[in-house]
Amino acid sequence: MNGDRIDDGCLELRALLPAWIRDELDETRRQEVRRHLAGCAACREQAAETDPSVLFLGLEGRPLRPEFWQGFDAALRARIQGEQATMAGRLAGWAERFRIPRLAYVTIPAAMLLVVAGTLILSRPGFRGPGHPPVASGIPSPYERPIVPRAGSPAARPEVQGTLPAAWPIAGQASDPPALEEVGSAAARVYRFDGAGEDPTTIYFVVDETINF
Amino acid sequence: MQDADLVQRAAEGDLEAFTLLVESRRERVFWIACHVVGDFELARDVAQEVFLRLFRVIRRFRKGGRFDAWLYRITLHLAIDAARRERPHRQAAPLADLAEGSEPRAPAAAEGLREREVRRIFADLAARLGPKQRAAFVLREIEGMSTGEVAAVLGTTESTVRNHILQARRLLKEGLSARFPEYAPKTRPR
Repeated sequence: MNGDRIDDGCLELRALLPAWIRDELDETRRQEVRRHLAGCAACREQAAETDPSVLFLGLEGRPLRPEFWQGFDAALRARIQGEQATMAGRLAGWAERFRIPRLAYVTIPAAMLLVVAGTLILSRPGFRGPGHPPVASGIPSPYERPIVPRAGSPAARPEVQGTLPAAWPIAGQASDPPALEEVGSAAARVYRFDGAGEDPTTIYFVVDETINF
Repeated sequence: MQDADLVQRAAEGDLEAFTLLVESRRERVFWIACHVVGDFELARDVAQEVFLRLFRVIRRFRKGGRFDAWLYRITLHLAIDAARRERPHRQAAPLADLAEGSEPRAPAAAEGLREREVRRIFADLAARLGPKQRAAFVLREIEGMSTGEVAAVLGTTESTVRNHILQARRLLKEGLSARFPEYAPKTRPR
Protein backbone atom coordinates (compact mmCIF):
# COMPACT_ATOMS: atom_id res chain seq x y z
CA MET A 1 0.00 0.00 0.00
CA ASN A 2 1.97 2.91 -1.15
CA GLY A 3 -0.38 5.44 -2.58
CA ASP A 4 0.74 5.98 -6.16
CA ARG A 5 3.72 3.64 -6.62
CA ILE A 6 3.32 0.03 -7.69
CA ASP A 7 5.18 -2.69 -5.77
CA ASP A 8 5.07 -6.47 -5.51
CA GLY A 9 2.00 -6.27 -3.28
CA CYS A 10 0.22 -4.33 -5.99
CA LEU A 11 1.12 -6.87 -8.67
CA GLU A 12 -0.05 -9.73 -6.49
CA LEU A 13 -3.28 -7.91 -5.78
CA ARG A 14 -3.99 -7.13 -9.41
CA ALA A 15 -3.90 -10.82 -10.19
CA LEU A 16 -6.66 -11.30 -7.63
CA LEU A 17 -8.79 -8.37 -8.78
CA PRO A 18 -11.12 -10.26 -11.18
CA ALA A 19 -11.97 -12.80 -8.47
CA TRP A 20 -12.39 -10.02 -5.92
CA ILE A 21 -14.80 -8.17 -8.19
CA ARG A 22 -16.85 -11.34 -8.69
CA ASP A 23 -16.76 -11.82 -4.88
CA GLU A 24 -15.23 -15.27 -5.23
CA LEU A 25 -12.34 -14.96 -2.75
CA ASP A 26 -12.35 -16.49 0.69
CA GLU A 27 -12.82 -14.09 3.60
CA THR A 28 -9.11 -13.68 4.44
CA ARG A 29 -8.03 -12.97 0.87
CA ARG A 30 -11.00 -10.71 0.33
CA GLN A 31 -10.08 -8.64 3.37
CA GLU A 32 -6.44 -8.39 2.20
CA VAL A 33 -7.50 -7.10 -1.20
CA ARG A 34 -9.99 -4.68 0.30
CA ARG A 35 -7.45 -3.27 2.74
CA HIS A 36 -4.94 -2.85 -0.04
CA LEU A 37 -7.45 -1.12 -2.29
CA ALA A 38 -8.59 1.16 0.53
CA GLY A 39 -5.03 2.38 1.03
CA CYS A 40 -3.54 2.24 -2.49
CA ALA A 41 -4.84 4.91 -4.84
CA ALA A 42 -3.03 3.41 -7.89
CA CYS A 43 -4.60 -0.02 -7.44
CA ARG A 44 -7.96 1.55 -6.69
CA GLU A 45 -7.77 3.44 -9.95
CA GLN A 46 -6.84 0.25 -11.79
CA ALA A 47 -9.73 -1.65 -10.21
CA ALA A 48 -12.11 1.23 -10.89
CA GLU A 49 -11.75 0.59 -14.62
CA THR A 50 -13.68 -2.62 -14.11
CA ASP A 51 -15.72 -1.73 -11.08
CA PRO A 52 -15.88 1.97 -10.27
CA SER A 53 -17.54 1.31 -6.91
CA VAL A 54 -14.02 0.65 -5.51
CA LEU A 55 -13.68 4.42 -5.54
CA PHE A 56 -15.67 4.42 -2.31
CA LEU A 57 -13.34 2.04 -0.50
CA GLY A 58 -11.14 5.02 0.27
CA LEU A 59 -13.90 6.38 2.51
CA GLU A 60 -13.09 3.96 5.33
CA GLY A 61 -13.34 5.67 8.71
CA ARG A 62 -10.14 7.02 10.24
CA PRO A 63 -9.40 7.80 13.87
CA LEU A 64 -10.82 11.17 14.81
CA ARG A 65 -9.12 13.84 16.84
CA PRO A 66 -10.21 14.07 20.48
CA GLU A 67 -11.58 17.58 19.85
CA PHE A 68 -14.20 16.06 17.62
CA TRP A 69 -15.71 14.35 20.65
CA GLN A 70 -15.57 17.43 22.83
CA GLY A 71 -18.96 17.96 24.28
CA PHE A 72 -20.29 14.69 22.85
CA ASP A 73 -20.07 12.72 26.08
CA ALA A 74 -21.23 15.62 28.23
CA ALA A 75 -24.23 16.27 25.98
CA LEU A 76 -25.11 12.58 25.93
CA ARG A 77 -24.86 12.29 29.69
CA ALA A 78 -27.02 15.40 30.12
CA ARG A 79 -29.68 13.96 27.82
CA ILE A 80 -29.65 10.63 29.65
CA GLN A 81 -29.96 12.31 33.05
CA GLY A 82 -32.67 14.58 31.69
CA GLU A 83 -34.60 11.55 30.49
CA GLN A 84 -34.23 9.82 33.81
CA ALA A 85 -35.45 12.90 35.64
CA THR A 86 -38.56 13.68 33.65
CA MET A 87 -41.76 11.72 33.51
CA ALA A 88 -41.84 12.05 29.72
CA GLY A 89 -38.38 10.56 29.53
CA ARG A 90 -39.34 7.66 31.77
CA LEU A 91 -42.44 7.08 29.65
CA ALA A 92 -40.34 7.19 26.46
CA GLY A 93 -37.96 4.67 27.96
CA TRP A 94 -40.85 2.48 29.02
CA ALA A 95 -42.45 2.70 25.57
CA GLU A 96 -39.11 1.91 23.98
CA ARG A 97 -38.73 -1.18 26.10
CA PHE A 98 -42.12 -2.53 25.12
CA ARG A 99 -41.99 -1.41 21.57
CA ILE A 100 -42.80 -3.62 18.60
CA PRO A 101 -41.71 -6.34 17.85
CA ARG A 102 -42.06 -7.51 21.46
CA LEU A 103 -45.77 -6.69 21.56
CA ALA A 104 -46.41 -7.57 17.94
CA TYR A 105 -47.20 -11.15 18.89
CA VAL A 106 -50.00 -9.92 21.16
CA THR A 107 -51.27 -6.79 19.47
CA ILE A 108 -51.76 -8.22 16.00
CA PRO A 109 -54.00 -11.16 17.08
CA ALA A 110 -55.86 -8.83 19.47
CA ALA A 111 -56.48 -6.32 16.69
CA MET A 112 -57.73 -9.09 14.40
CA LEU A 113 -60.12 -10.34 17.10
CA LEU A 114 -61.47 -6.81 17.53
CA VAL A 115 -62.05 -6.48 13.79
CA VAL A 116 -63.86 -9.83 13.61
CA ALA A 117 -65.99 -9.02 16.68
CA GLY A 118 -66.87 -5.59 15.30
CA THR A 119 -67.84 -7.05 11.94
CA LEU A 120 -70.10 -9.62 13.60
CA ILE A 121 -71.82 -6.97 15.73
CA LEU A 122 -72.38 -4.59 12.84
CA SER A 123 -73.66 -7.28 10.53
CA ARG A 124 -76.24 -8.55 13.06
CA PRO A 125 -79.77 -8.54 11.50
CA GLY A 126 -81.65 -5.40 12.41
CA PHE A 127 -78.62 -3.62 13.91
CA ARG A 128 -78.62 0.05 12.94
CA GLY A 129 -75.94 1.25 15.28
CA PRO A 130 -75.85 2.25 18.92
CA GLY A 131 -78.84 4.29 20.09
CA HIS A 132 -81.24 2.75 17.62
CA PRO A 133 -83.60 0.03 18.77
CA PRO A 134 -83.35 -3.14 16.74
CA VAL A 135 -85.85 -3.43 13.89
CA ALA A 136 -88.13 -6.43 13.85
CA SER A 137 -87.37 -8.65 10.96
CA GLY A 138 -91.05 -9.41 10.37
CA ILE A 139 -90.46 -13.10 10.77
CA PRO A 140 -92.52 -14.38 13.68
CA SER A 141 -90.44 -15.93 16.38
CA PRO A 142 -91.48 -19.42 17.45
CA TYR A 143 -90.94 -18.33 21.03
CA GLU A 144 -93.46 -15.53 20.96
CA ARG A 145 -96.97 -16.20 22.15
CA PRO A 146 -99.60 -16.33 19.38
CA ILE A 147 -101.30 -13.05 18.56
CA VAL A 148 -104.99 -12.94 19.33
CA PRO A 149 -106.88 -10.38 17.23
CA ARG A 150 -108.48 -7.71 19.36
CA ALA A 151 -112.18 -6.97 19.13
CA GLY A 152 -112.87 -4.22 16.61
CA SER A 153 -109.65 -4.73 14.68
CA PRO A 154 -109.90 -4.93 10.91
CA ALA A 155 -109.31 -8.63 11.08
CA ALA A 156 -112.46 -9.06 13.02
CA ARG A 157 -114.62 -7.68 10.22
CA PRO A 158 -116.39 -10.51 8.54
CA GLU A 159 -116.08 -9.15 5.04
CA VAL A 160 -115.70 -6.02 3.05
CA GLN A 161 -118.41 -5.19 0.65
CA GLY A 162 -117.61 -3.12 -2.37
CA THR A 163 -114.25 -1.95 -1.19
CA LEU A 164 -112.49 -3.88 -3.90
CA PRO A 165 -113.54 -4.09 -7.52
CA ALA A 166 -114.93 -7.43 -8.41
CA ALA A 167 -112.57 -7.86 -11.28
CA TRP A 168 -111.52 -11.39 -10.59
CA PRO A 169 -110.37 -12.84 -12.92
CA ILE A 170 -112.50 -14.41 -15.55
CA ALA A 171 -114.03 -11.90 -17.84
CA GLY A 172 -117.68 -12.22 -18.51
CA GLN A 173 -118.44 -14.20 -15.40
CA ALA A 174 -119.91 -12.78 -12.28
CA SER A 175 -117.56 -13.39 -9.46
CA ASP A 176 -118.13 -13.69 -5.75
CA PRO A 177 -116.84 -10.94 -3.55
CA PRO A 178 -113.51 -11.87 -2.01
CA ALA A 179 -113.54 -13.44 1.40
CA LEU A 180 -111.63 -11.70 4.16
CA GLU A 181 -109.24 -14.02 5.96
CA GLU A 182 -108.60 -13.69 9.63
CA VAL A 183 -104.98 -12.78 10.36
CA GLY A 184 -103.07 -11.93 13.52
CA SER A 185 -102.21 -8.40 12.48
CA ALA A 186 -104.23 -5.29 13.18
CA ALA A 187 -102.87 -3.54 10.10
CA ALA A 188 -103.00 -6.26 7.49
CA ARG A 189 -105.92 -7.64 5.56
CA VAL A 190 -105.88 -10.74 3.45
CA TYR A 191 -108.47 -11.35 0.78
CA ARG A 192 -109.00 -14.73 -0.65
CA PHE A 193 -110.15 -15.21 -4.22
CA ASP A 194 -111.42 -18.62 -4.99
CA GLY A 195 -110.75 -19.82 -8.45
CA ALA A 196 -113.56 -20.67 -10.77
CA GLY A 197 -114.05 -22.31 -14.11
CA GLU A 198 -111.12 -24.25 -15.52
CA ASP A 199 -108.61 -22.78 -13.07
CA PRO A 200 -109.53 -23.54 -9.47
CA THR A 201 -106.36 -21.92 -8.05
CA THR A 202 -107.01 -19.88 -4.95
CA ILE A 203 -105.26 -16.52 -4.79
CA TYR A 204 -104.61 -14.50 -1.66
CA PHE A 205 -104.33 -10.73 -1.86
CA VAL A 206 -102.57 -9.07 1.06
CA VAL A 207 -103.05 -5.41 1.98
CA ASP A 208 -100.75 -3.99 4.63
CA GLU A 209 -100.04 -0.27 4.62
CA THR A 210 -97.25 -0.61 7.13
CA ILE A 211 -95.07 -2.48 4.65
CA ASN A 212 -92.64 -0.05 3.16
CA PHE A 213 -90.99 -1.22 0.02
CA MET B 1 -13.01 -5.48 31.64
CA GLN B 2 -14.55 -7.81 29.08
CA ASP B 3 -17.11 -6.39 26.67
CA ALA B 4 -19.75 -8.84 27.86
CA ASP B 5 -19.30 -7.70 31.47
CA LEU B 6 -19.44 -4.09 30.40
CA VAL B 7 -22.69 -4.68 28.53
CA GLN B 8 -24.11 -6.62 31.47
CA ARG B 9 -23.26 -3.86 33.93
CA ALA B 10 -24.61 -1.18 31.61
CA ALA B 11 -27.82 -3.18 31.26
CA GLU B 12 -28.13 -3.17 35.03
CA GLY B 13 -28.05 0.63 34.99
CA ASP B 14 -24.35 1.28 35.67
CA LEU B 15 -23.76 4.65 34.01
CA GLU B 16 -19.98 4.35 34.26
CA ALA B 17 -20.01 1.06 32.33
CA PHE B 18 -22.31 2.62 29.79
CA THR B 19 -19.90 5.54 29.32
CA LEU B 20 -17.04 3.09 28.68
CA LEU B 21 -19.18 1.31 26.11
CA VAL B 22 -19.89 4.60 24.36
CA GLU B 23 -16.20 5.52 24.27
CA SER B 24 -15.23 2.17 22.78
CA ARG B 25 -17.91 2.18 20.06
CA ARG B 26 -18.56 5.80 19.19
CA GLU B 27 -16.07 6.06 16.30
CA ARG B 28 -17.42 3.02 14.49
CA VAL B 29 -20.97 4.20 15.08
CA PHE B 30 -20.06 7.66 13.85
CA TRP B 31 -18.42 6.39 10.66
CA ILE B 32 -21.23 4.02 9.79
CA ALA B 33 -23.70 6.88 10.24
CA CYS B 34 -21.42 9.16 8.25
CA HIS B 35 -21.26 6.81 5.26
CA VAL B 36 -25.04 6.64 5.25
CA VAL B 37 -25.91 10.30 5.77
CA GLY B 38 -22.84 11.83 4.06
CA ASP B 39 -22.58 14.68 6.55
CA PHE B 40 -20.33 14.86 9.61
CA GLU B 41 -22.44 17.05 11.82
CA LEU B 42 -25.53 15.03 11.08
CA ALA B 43 -23.57 11.82 11.65
CA ARG B 44 -22.49 13.09 15.08
CA ASP B 45 -26.11 13.87 15.93
CA VAL B 46 -27.10 10.39 14.76
CA ALA B 47 -24.33 8.84 16.90
CA GLN B 48 -25.67 10.64 19.95
CA GLU B 49 -29.19 9.51 19.14
CA VAL B 50 -27.91 5.93 18.76
CA PHE B 51 -26.39 5.91 22.24
CA LEU B 52 -29.44 7.52 23.76
CA ARG B 53 -31.58 4.83 22.14
CA LEU B 54 -29.09 2.22 23.33
CA PHE B 55 -29.42 3.49 26.88
CA ARG B 56 -33.19 3.11 26.70
CA VAL B 57 -33.17 -0.40 25.30
CA ILE B 58 -30.02 -1.98 26.67
CA ARG B 59 -32.08 -3.79 29.33
CA ARG B 60 -33.67 -5.73 26.48
CA PHE B 61 -30.33 -7.05 25.29
CA ARG B 62 -30.20 -10.81 25.70
CA LYS B 63 -27.18 -12.17 27.51
CA GLY B 64 -24.93 -13.99 25.05
CA GLY B 65 -26.29 -12.05 22.09
CA ARG B 66 -24.11 -10.18 19.57
CA PHE B 67 -23.94 -6.74 21.04
CA ASP B 68 -22.03 -5.09 18.19
CA ALA B 69 -24.39 -6.42 15.57
CA TRP B 70 -27.30 -5.12 17.64
CA LEU B 71 -25.69 -1.69 18.08
CA TYR B 72 -24.81 -1.32 14.39
CA ARG B 73 -28.32 -2.34 13.40
CA ILE B 74 -29.69 0.49 15.56
CA THR B 75 -27.13 2.80 13.96
CA LEU B 76 -28.17 1.88 10.44
CA HIS B 77 -31.86 2.34 11.16
CA LEU B 78 -31.38 5.76 12.72
CA ALA B 79 -28.91 6.88 10.07
CA ILE B 80 -31.19 5.88 7.20
CA ASP B 81 -34.10 7.68 8.90
CA ALA B 82 -31.95 10.78 9.43
CA ALA B 83 -30.75 10.74 5.83
CA ARG B 84 -34.32 10.62 4.57
CA ARG B 85 -35.41 13.38 6.92
CA GLU B 86 -32.50 15.80 6.92
CA ARG B 87 -30.32 15.48 3.88
CA PRO B 88 -32.27 17.82 1.61
CA HIS B 89 -31.86 20.63 4.17
CA ARG B 90 -28.17 20.26 4.95
CA GLN B 91 -24.88 21.24 3.39
CA ALA B 92 -22.05 18.79 4.01
CA ALA B 93 -19.46 20.07 6.48
CA PRO B 94 -15.75 19.43 5.95
CA LEU B 95 -14.03 16.72 7.98
CA ALA B 96 -10.43 17.34 6.93
CA ASP B 97 -9.73 19.40 10.02
CA LEU B 98 -11.11 16.82 12.42
CA ALA B 99 -9.77 13.51 11.15
CA GLU B 100 -6.24 12.46 11.99
CA GLY B 101 -4.37 12.19 8.71
CA SER B 102 -3.63 8.60 7.77
CA GLU B 103 -1.93 9.46 4.49
CA PRO B 104 0.67 12.08 5.30
CA ARG B 105 2.21 12.00 1.81
CA ALA B 106 -0.80 13.53 0.12
CA PRO B 107 -1.30 17.26 0.43
CA ALA B 108 -3.97 17.53 3.12
CA ALA B 109 -6.13 20.15 1.42
CA ALA B 110 -6.30 18.40 -1.95
CA GLU B 111 -6.85 15.06 -0.30
CA GLY B 112 -9.63 16.48 1.86
CA LEU B 113 -11.29 18.07 -1.15
CA ARG B 114 -11.14 14.84 -3.12
CA GLU B 115 -12.45 12.81 -0.20
CA ARG B 116 -15.27 15.26 0.38
CA GLU B 117 -16.23 15.04 -3.27
CA VAL B 118 -16.19 11.22 -3.23
CA ARG B 119 -18.17 11.20 0.01
CA ARG B 120 -20.76 13.52 -1.50
CA ILE B 121 -21.03 11.33 -4.61
CA PHE B 122 -21.42 8.21 -2.49
CA ALA B 123 -24.12 9.79 -0.31
CA ASP B 124 -25.92 10.87 -3.46
CA LEU B 125 -25.75 7.49 -5.19
CA ALA B 126 -26.28 5.42 -2.05
CA ALA B 127 -29.63 7.12 -1.52
CA ARG B 128 -30.78 5.19 -4.59
CA LEU B 129 -29.80 1.81 -3.14
CA GLY B 130 -32.16 -0.26 -1.09
CA PRO B 131 -31.59 -0.02 2.69
CA LYS B 132 -30.04 -3.50 2.88
CA GLN B 133 -27.86 -2.99 -0.17
CA ARG B 134 -26.62 0.28 1.24
CA ALA B 135 -26.04 -1.21 4.67
CA ALA B 136 -24.19 -4.23 3.27
CA PHE B 137 -21.96 -2.06 1.10
CA VAL B 138 -21.16 0.39 3.90
CA LEU B 139 -20.43 -2.28 6.50
CA ARG B 140 -18.46 -4.71 4.39
CA GLU B 141 -16.85 -2.72 1.60
CA ILE B 142 -16.20 0.59 3.34
CA GLU B 143 -15.96 -0.32 7.03
CA GLY B 144 -14.25 -3.64 6.35
CA MET B 145 -16.48 -5.96 8.37
CA SER B 146 -16.50 -9.63 7.48
CA THR B 147 -19.40 -11.10 5.53
CA GLY B 148 -20.47 -13.02 8.64
CA GLU B 149 -20.53 -9.88 10.78
CA VAL B 150 -22.60 -8.05 8.19
CA ALA B 151 -25.00 -10.98 8.00
CA ALA B 152 -25.42 -10.79 11.79
CA VAL B 153 -26.13 -7.06 11.66
CA LEU B 154 -28.68 -7.43 8.88
CA GLY B 155 -30.15 -10.61 10.33
CA THR B 156 -29.65 -12.55 7.12
CA THR B 157 -27.34 -15.13 5.53
CA GLU B 158 -23.89 -14.60 4.09
CA SER B 159 -25.02 -15.48 0.60
CA THR B 160 -27.75 -12.83 0.84
CA VAL B 161 -25.14 -10.30 1.94
CA ARG B 162 -23.00 -11.19 -1.10
CA ASN B 163 -26.03 -10.76 -3.28
CA HIS B 164 -26.75 -7.33 -1.77
CA ILE B 165 -23.13 -6.30 -2.34
CA LEU B 166 -23.15 -7.36 -5.99
CA GLN B 167 -26.41 -5.51 -6.59
CA ALA B 168 -25.08 -2.43 -4.80
CA ARG B 169 -21.91 -2.45 -6.90
CA ARG B 170 -23.93 -2.75 -10.09
CA LEU B 171 -26.23 0.12 -9.12
CA LEU B 172 -23.33 2.31 -8.04
CA LYS B 173 -21.57 1.60 -11.31
CA GLU B 174 -24.69 2.52 -13.29
CA GLY B 175 -25.19 5.64 -11.18
CA LEU B 176 -21.60 6.76 -11.69
CA SER B 177 -21.84 6.25 -15.45
CA ALA B 178 -25.09 8.17 -15.66
CA ARG B 179 -24.45 11.03 -13.24
CA PHE B 180 -20.71 11.28 -12.71
CA PRO B 181 -19.18 10.03 -15.97
CA GLU B 182 -15.77 11.46 -15.05
CA TYR B 183 -15.54 8.67 -12.42
CA ALA B 184 -16.97 5.91 -14.61
CA PRO B 185 -14.63 3.44 -16.36
CA LYS B 186 -13.41 4.63 -19.73
CA THR B 187 -13.60 2.28 -22.68
CA ARG B 188 -10.17 1.93 -24.20
CA PRO B 189 -9.70 1.73 -27.98
CA ARG B 190 -8.31 -1.63 -29.08
